[in-house]
Amino acid sequence: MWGDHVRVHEEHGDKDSPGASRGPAAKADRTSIEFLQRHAGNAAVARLLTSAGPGTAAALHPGLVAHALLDEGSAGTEEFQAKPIGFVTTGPDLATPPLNADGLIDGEWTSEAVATVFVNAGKAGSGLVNWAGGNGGTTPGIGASTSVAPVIDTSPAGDAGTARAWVRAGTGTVNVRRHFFGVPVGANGPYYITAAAAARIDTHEQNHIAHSRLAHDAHLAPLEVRIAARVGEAKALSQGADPAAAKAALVAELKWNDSLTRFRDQDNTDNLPGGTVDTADSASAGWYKDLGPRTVGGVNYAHYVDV
Amino acid sequence: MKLTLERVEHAEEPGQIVVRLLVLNDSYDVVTLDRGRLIGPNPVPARASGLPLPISMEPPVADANVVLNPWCLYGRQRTFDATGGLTFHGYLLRERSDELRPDAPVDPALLVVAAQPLTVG
Repeated sequence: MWGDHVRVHEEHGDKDSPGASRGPAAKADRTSIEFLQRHAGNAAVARLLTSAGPGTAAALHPGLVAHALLDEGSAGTEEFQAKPIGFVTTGPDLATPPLNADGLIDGEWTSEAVATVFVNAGKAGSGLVNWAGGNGGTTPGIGASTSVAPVIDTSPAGDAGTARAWVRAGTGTVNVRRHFFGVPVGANGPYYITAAAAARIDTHEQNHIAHSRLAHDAHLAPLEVRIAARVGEAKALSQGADPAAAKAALVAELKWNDSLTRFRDQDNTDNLPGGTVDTADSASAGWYKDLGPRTVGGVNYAHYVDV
Repeated sequence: MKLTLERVEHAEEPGQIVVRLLVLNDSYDVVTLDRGRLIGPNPVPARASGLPLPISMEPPVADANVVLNPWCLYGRQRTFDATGGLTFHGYLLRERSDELRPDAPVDPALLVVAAQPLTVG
């Protein structure tokens, strides 16, 4: 999905940056790029730097990247991977769940789907807004979860006449993690995003996280309760004439696969691009708006985005 | 009042889409238009991807009113760096609102008239 690669953590041209050591040559390169930005526009410069293939920017200006591509507010160490500007369709990830020998979802059920969400691994950094081909304002892995399927131990029917089944300790766990990327304040390709708008975008991403938590609490928290109620032989389910029947009864009681699938479905419905969170939030008061072309700091932007 | 959306072919650089939203006073009376009530052009991707695109609005100005004589036009042009299918929307509000969707206000009673959507790509 990603196209050309441009490193954005290069430098801002200050005395602490790697490029500063290149002295007058670096300054001249930087001045040239700024000249191009002012006269050809950010979008044209971005296209120039990303159009000819991986490493183009470094080849043209070793150690330097146009200011419009820099993430001046980024706290992360993620490498921004640019792609041709455009709108990439995103839908639910159709990856099938990993199943163990018992047919139970087990392991990392990944998702490449990206929306506008969360975790509470919180904010992982920032990048150019996704409208300009970056990863800013996105949340990877919508619908994803990592699980350890319950290992079900059994014992044959004893004097009581029913077999027993229980969940082995340390199994039957689900972990859902989310993080999001904000956007840098200022230049985002052809967009200039104000601090207020960037903060609103962060709030929106956190709203996605909150909804993922709701989906977790609705479908996975009850699952955890059902698991906890059957961990260890002392809490075994006594049902069925033989171990296989007891095991089948416990699997039906736990609703493991069903719960994970329902969580994933709700997470997708709420948090994928264009989902319920996007629809409701973007129509609320205080949402960011495109106020049209504007010059900021001597640079022309096609879209000034503010709340 | 009539609203139209049109693509400006000759003004485009490669990879750009230029769209105008025009409002026509198709009456025989002079009309004063509050530019803050004209919303658009608002692009909507064929399938949503990432953060929702912002709604196009007029920047705040001291006097947002513009007088339209009969059969005169007012409009807004925006340029988008984009590829792929986009549908543009535009509409006129009865009064200003901050609760907006790309194709209509949240409160349908605030909608005066909407342009025929324009699909590009």
